[in-house]
Amino acid sequence: MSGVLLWAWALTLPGLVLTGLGVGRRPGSASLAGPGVLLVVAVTWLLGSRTAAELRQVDWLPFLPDGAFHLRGDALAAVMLAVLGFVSLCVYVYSLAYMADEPPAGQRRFFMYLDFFVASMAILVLAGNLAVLLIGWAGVGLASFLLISFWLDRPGTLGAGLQALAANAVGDAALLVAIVLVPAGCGDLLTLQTPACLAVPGGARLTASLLLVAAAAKSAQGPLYFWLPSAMAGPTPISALIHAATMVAAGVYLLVRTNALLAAAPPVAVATAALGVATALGGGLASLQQANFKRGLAYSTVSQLGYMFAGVGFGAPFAAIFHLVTHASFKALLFLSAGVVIHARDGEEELAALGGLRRALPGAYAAFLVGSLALVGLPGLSGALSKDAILDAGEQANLLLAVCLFGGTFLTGLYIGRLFFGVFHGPRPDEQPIHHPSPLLLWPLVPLAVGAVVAGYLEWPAGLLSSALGETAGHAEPVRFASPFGFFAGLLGVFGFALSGWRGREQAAEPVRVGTDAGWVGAVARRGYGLADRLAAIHSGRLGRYALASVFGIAIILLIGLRA
Amino acid sequence: MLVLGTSAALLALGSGGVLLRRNPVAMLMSVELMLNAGNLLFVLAARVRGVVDGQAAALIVLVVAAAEAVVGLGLALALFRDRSRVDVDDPAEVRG
Amino acid sequence: MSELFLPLAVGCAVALVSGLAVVLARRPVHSVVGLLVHSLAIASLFLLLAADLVAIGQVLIYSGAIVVLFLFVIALLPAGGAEGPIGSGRALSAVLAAGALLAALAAGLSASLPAATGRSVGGVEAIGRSLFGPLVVPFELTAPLLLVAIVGAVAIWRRQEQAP
Repeated sequence: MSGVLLWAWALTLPGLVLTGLGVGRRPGSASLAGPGVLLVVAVTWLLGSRTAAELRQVDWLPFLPDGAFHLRGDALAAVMLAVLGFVSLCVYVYSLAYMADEPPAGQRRFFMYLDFFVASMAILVLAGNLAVLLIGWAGVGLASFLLISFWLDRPGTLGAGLQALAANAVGDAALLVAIVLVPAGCGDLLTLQTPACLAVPGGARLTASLLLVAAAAKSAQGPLYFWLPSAMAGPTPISALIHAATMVAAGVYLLVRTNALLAAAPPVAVATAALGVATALGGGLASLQQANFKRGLAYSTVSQLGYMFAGVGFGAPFAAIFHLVTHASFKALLFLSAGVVIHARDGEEELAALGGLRRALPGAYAAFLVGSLALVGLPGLSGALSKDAILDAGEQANLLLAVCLFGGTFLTGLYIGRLFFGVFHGPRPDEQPIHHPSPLLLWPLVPLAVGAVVAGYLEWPAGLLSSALGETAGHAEPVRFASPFGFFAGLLGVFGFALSGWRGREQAAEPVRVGTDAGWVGAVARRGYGLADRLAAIHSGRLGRYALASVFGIAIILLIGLRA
Repeated sequence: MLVLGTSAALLALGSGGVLLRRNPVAMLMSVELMLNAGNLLFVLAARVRGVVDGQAAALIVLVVAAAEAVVGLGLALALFRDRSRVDVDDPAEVRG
Repeated sequence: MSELFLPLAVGCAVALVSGLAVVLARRPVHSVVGLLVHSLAIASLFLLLAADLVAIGQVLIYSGAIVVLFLFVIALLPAGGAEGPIGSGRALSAVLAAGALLAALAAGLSASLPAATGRSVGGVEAIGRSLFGPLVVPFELTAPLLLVAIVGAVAIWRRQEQAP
């Protein structure tokens, strides 16, 4: 079984070819098998012997310090593959209905891109060293671009895709430099045999910082957040699969894989935690200001990824993975039910035009409610348990940051409540016709909703997930919930959620404006915009400037690299 | 030593040319200079170390240079098509 | 290697001077002539360094194909591809950047000069073994690279034709 796990990335390729050739009654139905088999393989491995497998094809890229084609199937990879298979299976089924209005060629293209994405993501997860990881890393970036810009004829999609490419390029470059800097034998960086790797020239700190930059670009953290909200220009199933559940979590996965390096560089670990907390709070605030349904959800993703970064930075990589698993389930659920709403209203995404859809779309209503409550952390649901794990770790590692995160749960409640009550409650703003969703759109919500409720019990109270992961995600202690910290965080979130409902639908749909009198929040935002304008001025589009900057950059890298 | 210095000087010269020139064709020629500098270093390394891999790598670089010239010249021609003077500093021209 | 010193020095000098001509010539045609001389000089350096096959490839591909391609393009260009004036700030920054690169290279390369082994290597067979042995992946990758380049060049040209 373990051998099959190693080759799991190839499982979607037959589907890709068959879909491309136009096999199947519906375009794309031939692709369905890929993620299903992927899920079965990963779960069977997890339930079975759990023997790690490795594949090492030695002289593959001889010019890199660690250029072997090295795949490694272990528990962490299997858990990630199971999440990938589960969410992508739901999204594939959902897309069959969601994309049904496209011409058949467009649908085939869509599913081929999806297959390519799943294969790349599986390579990323199964990579045994950074060089192989980069293949998947670049592949998912490319798939993300192709799918964001899928509707090329709509305004703004190409720009959004290019933004994603640009942010990804930052991450790819950082990862590339890290690969070259890491000395030979350190492919084992990914397998946590790091002692040899800590003799990196410049120390663990430099490599860890580079990996942090790469991860932040992939996971839309800190200043590199900008592309993720724009990425919502793509079809909604893509937002659910790539830009909520799996690809954006790849940065978290990278940091978890290399957490021993992070542990060896405490300043970088603190920076990771601080970055995560700042992004968690900033994303929450930004979500409150969105007038667009999907962008509001996108900032929620940014914010939740911040929680995961904080978890890694607190030295609790297991808590981050746990939150990754639960978040994949409930955020995909939120996006897919948002997609039902958008589909029923012919692509209407503005909050001001949505409202009162509770009676018309009961399925989406229930699904979105379950997803929201899991997100805010209603005690007992999945989000509460995993967020609690992160907060517990933070309480031990860095109380100040943990308290900030604790406050962030209130924001979570506020913004998701604003979206929920704004869309489903209150009066209908207009009498536009509503298409009733086909069952194929609603059925995928069921397993995701079940996941959003019960995913937390994979870990608590029996500790199944942590015992399965063993040492692959750092030292994973079963989550115990020693302190009532997380419980109160959940209550605070629910309070925020209820507060949004009480504010009523009219105010809820209104974006919280950053006006001149909005106090320090507005001041910070204006500063940020000013800084962004100045930064944007660097990108003048003048080729000469770019070339000049690169030559100086290369000279500096050469000086550092060749002298060392 | 002599060839090593020549290679480094050629690389710097080529990069200077890329930065200096505003004509895309001339920039491409400067890039070719840089590729030649790299090739020279490959062959020199093969000679000095007594292994043949450097020469094989130089051949691959030649192929890459050919591909680069084809695409680059195609772009330059497309840019030149409807204007008589092309300046890579015109920001509007590099928009997608 | 002492008897090779004089030819090597001459080859290097020619390569550098013609490279300078490529960069500095005002008219693109002169630059192309400079490139031709330069590539021949490099080919002669390859010969002196006992890399016969690479030298032949250099003459065939560079002097034969690439330089001719450049010539064709320049012949097609309106006004011979005249260029706007180059400001002094641009020249200064270019010289500075090139100087910085040279300094960095000198600092890096001077530290590690391996002694030459007397053994000379080469020959088509050895290169073939290398290309299909340790370097097989990059070698095979050149095939799709060329294909993509050809398709890309055609596509760039075609799109321009549709929307003049």
